[in-house]
Amino acid sequence: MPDQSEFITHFEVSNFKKFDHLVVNDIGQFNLITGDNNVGKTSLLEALSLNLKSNNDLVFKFHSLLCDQHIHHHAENKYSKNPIIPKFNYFNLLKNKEELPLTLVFNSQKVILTDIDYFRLKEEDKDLFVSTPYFMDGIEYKYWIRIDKSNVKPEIQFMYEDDYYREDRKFESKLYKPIVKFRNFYERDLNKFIKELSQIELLNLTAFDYEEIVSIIKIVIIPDIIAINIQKINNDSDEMIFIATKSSKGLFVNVTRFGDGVQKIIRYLIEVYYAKKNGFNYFLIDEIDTGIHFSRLKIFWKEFLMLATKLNIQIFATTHSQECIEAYAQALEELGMEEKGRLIEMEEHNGKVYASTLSYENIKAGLISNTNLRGA
Amino acid sequence: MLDFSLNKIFVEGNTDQKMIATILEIHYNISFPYNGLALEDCIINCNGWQGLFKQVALKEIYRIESSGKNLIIFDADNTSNLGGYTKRKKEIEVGFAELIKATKKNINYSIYLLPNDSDNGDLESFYMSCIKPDKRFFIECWNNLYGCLQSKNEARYELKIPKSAGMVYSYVDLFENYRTGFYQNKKTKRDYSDDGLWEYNFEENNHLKSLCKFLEDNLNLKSN
Repeated sequence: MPDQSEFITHFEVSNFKKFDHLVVNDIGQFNLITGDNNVGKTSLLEALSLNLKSNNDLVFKFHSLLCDQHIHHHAENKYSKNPIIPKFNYFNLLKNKEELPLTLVFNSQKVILTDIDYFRLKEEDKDLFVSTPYFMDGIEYKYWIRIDKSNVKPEIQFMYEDDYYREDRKFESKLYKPIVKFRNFYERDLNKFIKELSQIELLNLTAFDYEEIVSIIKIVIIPDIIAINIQKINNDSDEMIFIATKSSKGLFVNVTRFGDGVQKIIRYLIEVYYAKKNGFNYFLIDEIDTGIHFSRLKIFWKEFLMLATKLNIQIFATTHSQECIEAYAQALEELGMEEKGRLIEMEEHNGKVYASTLSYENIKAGLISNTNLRGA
Repeated sequence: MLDFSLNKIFVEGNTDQKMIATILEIHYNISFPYNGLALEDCIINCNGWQGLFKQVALKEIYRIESSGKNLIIFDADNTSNLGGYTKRKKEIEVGFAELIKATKKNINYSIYLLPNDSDNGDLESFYMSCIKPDKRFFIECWNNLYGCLQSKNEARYELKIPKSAGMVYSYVDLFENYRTGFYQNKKTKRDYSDDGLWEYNFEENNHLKSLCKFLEDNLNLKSN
């Protein structure tokens, strides 16, 4: 895996979702990704989110991604001590050469999923496994790989986080991917996000961080904000974001009382800090502008890009909106950050996906000549 | 069939864009939007020749990898405005050489410099070849006016000598009563397909024949 201190400038992914082979060159610190529906914008974000610190993390998170997308079947009776292992398994398909392996290239470093020597792991005793506590650091990934003796032909079975239930599992931080997907904007998810972060005590924002977040929210979306806090409504409730404003007379009000756009922006700000504090130097956002009024887009971009610059974090975000592209270009220009900005235009022709990286100069010329920058 | 998602024409300005669109329509029956692509996505306005290498279409990987054609139809210009056929062609070729070096990929391009891909001049010189025969006296009048103004161009007057585009605008304004089209506003005033003012003689106009040959050779076009 690449040095986490350096930004991604070149990326390749093979055999992932609809990408047979996708190459993205000349990537900048700030990257706005455009393209038609179903061209693979979110898939590109997901593939980028697999840029992890170790092979174990890659296997684990890739597997988690397959599960999210129902590509990988889960064990039945997984809460019992005798789970039924599913026959369908991505890794078996790889082993049987029915599937080509996921391959990633971050800058000059290449990782092929089959490089990971899970085939050579020794057989583990199932009962022993079930009774063995998880290793929190995730290094002993042999605990996730089993041979299912119930099959006539023994198969290597890859185990994953929810195959077995553990009250004490605390490896969520290992599962964390610095990606905010389109569906992740509603109250329930925001609540879940804050709950997870606060439960594992990793949010860890300082007073300075909160001050910075408040100053950005004030400029972008709530002019009379006074303070922000993460707290419980009462002892039995989960923690949630609360906001005090002049109009609430300084009283803290649950963020869910505000609109989706406010919640989204606050989540971006908190999560970008969270990603940074957990060692990630990149942050991925799907449909960044959805829910944000067009008149606020430029100031949002300006503040967000300034924060990303301060935290030295790389941004990848998708959009369908021409207004968002225009606001992004204006923000880059007004901040004097033209050199850092890129627009990655994705298009599909005859089943193959192409990604073209445009510089600020190209974006501006495209806007002037009224060229379609939102992808074919 | 012409594929504008793969092949693009690059021009210097709005007028050039309309002129090429007019020729494609009347001689090759190609009208815009064409196969769902807007005029500006097929014939790309670079806003001056120096805008060429900023254009998005030149960076599109699909087009590069599929050997999409880039047809550059620019002005040759004159030495008086730091141009000229040989100089301008060389400058564009150098630009493409740099782009090919940067992308490490072959980029398929062809250059045609107006008015006829051999002489100095510009779009306006080309247009003057398309003036209706009975109105060609205008060219002589304009040249006399232009020559006279040039001869009086002393520092104390600070004259703003008309650019060559002014010649076309003046022609259109002068023969306003000969227009056959319906003009709603100033923009449509510059519709260069009006056969009351313009004659696209594809048999005899050498400038037009030369440009059409370039389009046909590069885009496999066949005339009506």
